Amino acid sequence: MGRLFPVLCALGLALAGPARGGDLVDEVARADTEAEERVHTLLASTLAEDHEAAAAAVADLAAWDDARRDAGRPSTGLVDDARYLTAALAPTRDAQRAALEDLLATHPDPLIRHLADHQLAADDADAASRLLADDRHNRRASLLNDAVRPLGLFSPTAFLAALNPLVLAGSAVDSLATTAVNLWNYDQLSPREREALVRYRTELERTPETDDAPAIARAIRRLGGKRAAALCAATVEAGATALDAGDLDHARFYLRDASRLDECEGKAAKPLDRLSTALARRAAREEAGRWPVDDPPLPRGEEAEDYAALVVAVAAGDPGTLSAAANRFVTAHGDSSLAPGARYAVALARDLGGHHADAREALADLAHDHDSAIGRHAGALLASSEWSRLADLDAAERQHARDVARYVLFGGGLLDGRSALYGAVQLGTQGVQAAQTLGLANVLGIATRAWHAWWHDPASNQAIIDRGEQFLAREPQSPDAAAVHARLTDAYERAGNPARALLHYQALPDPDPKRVAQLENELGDSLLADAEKHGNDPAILRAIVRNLGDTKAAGTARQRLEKAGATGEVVVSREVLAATPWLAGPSGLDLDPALLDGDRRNGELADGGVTLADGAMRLALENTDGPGQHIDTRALDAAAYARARAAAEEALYTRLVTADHSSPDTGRFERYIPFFFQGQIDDSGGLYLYPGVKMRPYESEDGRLYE
Amino acid sequence: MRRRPLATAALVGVLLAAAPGHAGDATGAFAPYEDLIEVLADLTWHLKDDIYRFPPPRDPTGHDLYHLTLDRLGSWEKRFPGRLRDVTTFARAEALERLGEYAGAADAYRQVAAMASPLAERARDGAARATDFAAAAALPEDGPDVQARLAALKAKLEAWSKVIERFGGTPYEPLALVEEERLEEETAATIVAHRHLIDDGDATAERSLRFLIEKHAESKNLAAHILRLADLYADLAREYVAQHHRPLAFDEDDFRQRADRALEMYRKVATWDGSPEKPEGQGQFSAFDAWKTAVLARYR
Repeated sequence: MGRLFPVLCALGLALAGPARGGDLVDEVARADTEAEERVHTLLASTLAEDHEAAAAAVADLAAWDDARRDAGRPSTGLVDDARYLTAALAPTRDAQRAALEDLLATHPDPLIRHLADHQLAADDADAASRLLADDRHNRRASLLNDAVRPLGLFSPTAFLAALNPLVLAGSAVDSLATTAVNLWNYDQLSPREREALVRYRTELERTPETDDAPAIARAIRRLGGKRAAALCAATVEAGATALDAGDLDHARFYLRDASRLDECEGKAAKPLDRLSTALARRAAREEAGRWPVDDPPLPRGEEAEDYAALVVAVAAGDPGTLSAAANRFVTAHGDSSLAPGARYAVALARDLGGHHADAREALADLAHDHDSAIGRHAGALLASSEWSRLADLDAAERQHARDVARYVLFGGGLLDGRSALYGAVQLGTQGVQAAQTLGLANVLGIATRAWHAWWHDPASNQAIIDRGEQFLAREPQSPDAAAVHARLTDAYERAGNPARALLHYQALPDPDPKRVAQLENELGDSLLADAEKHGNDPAILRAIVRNLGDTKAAGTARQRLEKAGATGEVVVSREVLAATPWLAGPSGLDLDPALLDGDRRNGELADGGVTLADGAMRLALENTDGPGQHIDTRALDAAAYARARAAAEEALYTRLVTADHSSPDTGRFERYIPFFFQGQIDDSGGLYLYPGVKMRPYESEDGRLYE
Repeated sequence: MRRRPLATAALVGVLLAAAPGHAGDATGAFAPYEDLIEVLADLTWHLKDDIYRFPPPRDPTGHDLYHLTLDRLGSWEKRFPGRLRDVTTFARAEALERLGEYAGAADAYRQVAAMASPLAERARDGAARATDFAAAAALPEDGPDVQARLAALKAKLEAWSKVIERFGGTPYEPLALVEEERLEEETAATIVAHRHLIDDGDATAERSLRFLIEKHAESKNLAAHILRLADLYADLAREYVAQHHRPLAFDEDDFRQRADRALEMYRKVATWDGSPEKPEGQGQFSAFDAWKTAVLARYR
């Protein structure tokens, strides 16, 4: 089946290629008996998987084609198809590749060239070799570029270096430091190498008999060892990081997993020892926390009766009795070592009695007593989310404001070591003046980031949202609930979630209709974008029309719903027709040639082209008597509709196959001369120019599978 | 003089960069306690918590407070047997009751009721209540086959329904609602697990999960119930692929409709701010979306 499939594909392609001026079907249709016999022989031997007979048929066809050319007749254009067809019959991977390379050497027509290229590129071993070559290139280029970049060329700083060699020293230190870091990381496993390993393995499993098998096996061993080492290092690091953060459960998972990996047990041993110690300590701490201290304070003398009453009152939980017992104890035995417990009971009594603020006050007083366990416990209780939901919300908002300020002042990422080092050297060599210059130059960046922050919140609002939602879930009737709704409206709006923002805004006692309309518009736009992402999902479009009828988005949604009314359409634009003239002919759409002659007066097809749907052909036509367009719908009989539709789909597919998929950023000779110069205006206003080796982008379709 | 503004700016910058996360994270160490009142007060503070609508209370270090209290009371009783025994036993009964151990709670209440203690009368009430709860909890939930199991669950639900009716509006109603919700969850899970053996099993399973979601819309477990419905939809989508694995039998629209139903449910939870199930919803959404994409690519 594996071999039959490409044969059938090739057969299909050979049967449908009228654009190339010659095609098996066309030839047969023209009752060219001679051609028909040759094609029949070829197809029959191909379907019978008789490689020798097929090769002979191709040779015969080629000779006949040559003879036609010699006789001044046009070429049939069938030889490329025939060679592509027989390449699929080659018994081994190596023979198939050789046949395809031979075919490409004959400069076949574009469709066959693309198909042959695709077959060669789809070879896993070949793709893996290319990936590794690109990977090697990029590692070297990155090393060189990062070393050269700090030194620069034609920079005013470079000229100043003659006067102040310390500036050059800063650049040199930067270059050396960067190079050292890059060398340290040079041999890290890359996504390309991961993909290459998978592709080599696949190739070896598929074609173990290939001549390249020994080389592929060597590559698999090398990459496999590297991958195992990387996996070990990453797993141990994940475990050690979790361990350092006190997350013992995750540390246990990663480190035990690492210890079971090949040749990783030794690397995991040390952190595993640390983990065992930490787990033992945690277990001991947990156990100790379930017991009273060794010598708990005991009621003495007169305290005993009041303490017994207090303990019973605490267990019974009646606020009145509890308050009386606790206050009696505090008043009568204020200096007792049991007094902190009684004051804790006072706080409890107040809270149970509905006096939450007073309870908080009592706890806060008690929390000042750091010497007693109850004082420390009260402090911890006040800091817990149960007692500080609003404070947590405040803290989340403060943190958000700090994050935004940090972004505006310092940019998106953390200051990297290289910039810090270079800045430090500059400051050291040029003193305060350099710092000032640096600061002034950064004003532009700050202003830009501030502008960006105004439109798109650069910091996460999730902590505000989580804490606000938790507050409302727990205390929906709180007097602070309205304020929290308002704060959540802002947070959700900043986070780009207008639906939730609207929900919370409408929960306010007196929402402003203008703000409601504004949020509804934002919600409509957001849903419209969502619908677009899902191919103009009619369910989303209908929801916009139904629920947000007054918004601008609703109008757009209505239009799109009307437009999408018809289904199963095949649209052939004028551009496609111009590129594939055969499609307009009798074997395709059978259009009047006048529609494509560029003369509006006799009728001209507009850019919208032809749409095939519901047994009819809709033509977008330019108006003959002035600007504008109109639609002309022509009913087709079943056979004509089927023929037109099949031809249109074939033309669209061919166009897709032969489209140029190479990156527009990749130069024609870039693989051989991969150098570039990059220039920029530096902070001091001068031209800063440096050379570099151009990197090869990682463009694998499945790139994310190897990250 | 020029250095001072710069130094101030640098200091402000450093402070901004190194500002602490937020003060609310500070908690006391999990340490031995000095006074039994600390243990009892924390329990009393949370005796009226609605553990049906909200998660059970936790101490500042994140331990389940009822469970911790039970452990601490047990260790007190081991360390000081006989000291304040009526109080510790009564509190132990309360903690056991909140942990769903009604028979143990009834027993502890009865012990206090038999003591010469100011808590004896309350303990008698508690014993009667816990006995009612224990009677419902003791009913069987299992059976030799699906129908018998469903019948057992139904009988037990009816018993709990009477308990809910009896204790409606009291601080004990949420305890019974928790039990009812758990049993209805069990019933739905049984139907889902055996839907191939039940007439119109897929629709019945969907109905049972939807019923759970609608009936327990106030529950803290609502998001978890939605995830279970999403899981069912995901299973149905997987079954569709298994039953239509041949390329010509596979219909992209049919599959997409089934898969999207699951994704919509996962997404509900994935975007549910403040819900503890949100990360699970996000993970499930990503995992199922990846599977859907892979299936569509396979049949492209």
